[in-house]
Amino acid sequence: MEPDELKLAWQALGRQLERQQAIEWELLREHRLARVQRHLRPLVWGQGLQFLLGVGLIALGVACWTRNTDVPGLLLGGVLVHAFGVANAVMAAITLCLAAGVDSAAPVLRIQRRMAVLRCVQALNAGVCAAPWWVMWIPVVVAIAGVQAPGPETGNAPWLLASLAIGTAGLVATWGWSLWRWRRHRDLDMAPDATDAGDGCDGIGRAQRLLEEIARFERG
Amino acid sequence: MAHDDHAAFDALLQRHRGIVLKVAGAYARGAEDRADLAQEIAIQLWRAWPDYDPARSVTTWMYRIALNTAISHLRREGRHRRHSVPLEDGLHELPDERGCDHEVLGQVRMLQRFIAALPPLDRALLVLYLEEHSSREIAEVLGLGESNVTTRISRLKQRIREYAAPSTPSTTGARHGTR
Repeated sequence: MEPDELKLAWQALGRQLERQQAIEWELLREHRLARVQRHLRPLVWGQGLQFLLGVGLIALGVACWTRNTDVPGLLLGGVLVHAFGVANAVMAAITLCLAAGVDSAAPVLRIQRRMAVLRCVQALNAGVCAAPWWVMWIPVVVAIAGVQAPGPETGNAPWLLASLAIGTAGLVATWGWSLWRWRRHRDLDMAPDATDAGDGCDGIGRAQRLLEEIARFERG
Repeated sequence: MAHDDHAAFDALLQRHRGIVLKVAGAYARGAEDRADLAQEIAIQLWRAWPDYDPARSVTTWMYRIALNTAISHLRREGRHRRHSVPLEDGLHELPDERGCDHEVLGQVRMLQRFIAALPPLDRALLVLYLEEHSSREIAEVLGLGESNVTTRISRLKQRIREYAAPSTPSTTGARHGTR
């Protein structure tokens, strides 16, 4: 088939699509469109909440370690919560900035590249800010205890150690699973739309493949 | 004011609905998916409508949004469906076969198969080429250099010839492109 014939076939296909008119254009009634325009994407909501959580954790961590500089356990707990809060706030801010910069009317390649970077940051965000909750709930509990009025000694070291051990095992398993999925998909060298871990573990790998596909396309 | 805005958008969409329909036709699998994608494109156009600069080309604006939406849709749907729905399901399902002679029908089906076998970005290039846009316009929509577009279109035409050649049906670049 020659390109001219292909264009004729394309026009025939276009006419068929026009005739079909199967699209429910009633979706575009004014009230529904207005609702769509007001609608904020879940990503923005989610990252906004994560940013607020980060700020809250910073406040909690600072309150804990500044009041307990003479208690090593509480000092460490406060510093950890403070650092984790900074990580949450920074990752959320980066994601929000990237999402805000996605202008769907920009050239296709620029948007696709930006989407890949956004996907990569989201995957990193999950690894840095979500998975550590396996362990981080413990310093948070410690920090909350640290900012409260001092009470009688409770002798809670055994449950802390047990929780820490279980949490660390869970965290290592989660990160190990993510790494295994990433390596597996990288080794298979699949197309960006050919894989889905189904668990969000392969976000970075997919983003990399997407960027490679864009680069290949640009090189021709 | 909001009503005028909506009316202007509605008129624009009606005038250029071919862009929405053809992009949806090139990226969707089957009638239901096509309708979903067309709606998704219309919604994205409406979301972007307040930022549209009337001094710029409306078709470039529409193609950019439609293609970006369609590529994202294809990647998302591809991940969800790949393991349950064969790639070519729905491709032979023409929207409306009335008024088509046998030869044209065959060509349309071949074109659909060829499009379906292309990676998402190459599909965008093919759609714009088939819509007879100039290299400069295609470059503007895709964000590629003009000379790069010209080169890529020449290669695409060659791939089309190879794909359609009856003696070499399995040695096409398009099929390799779906790896």
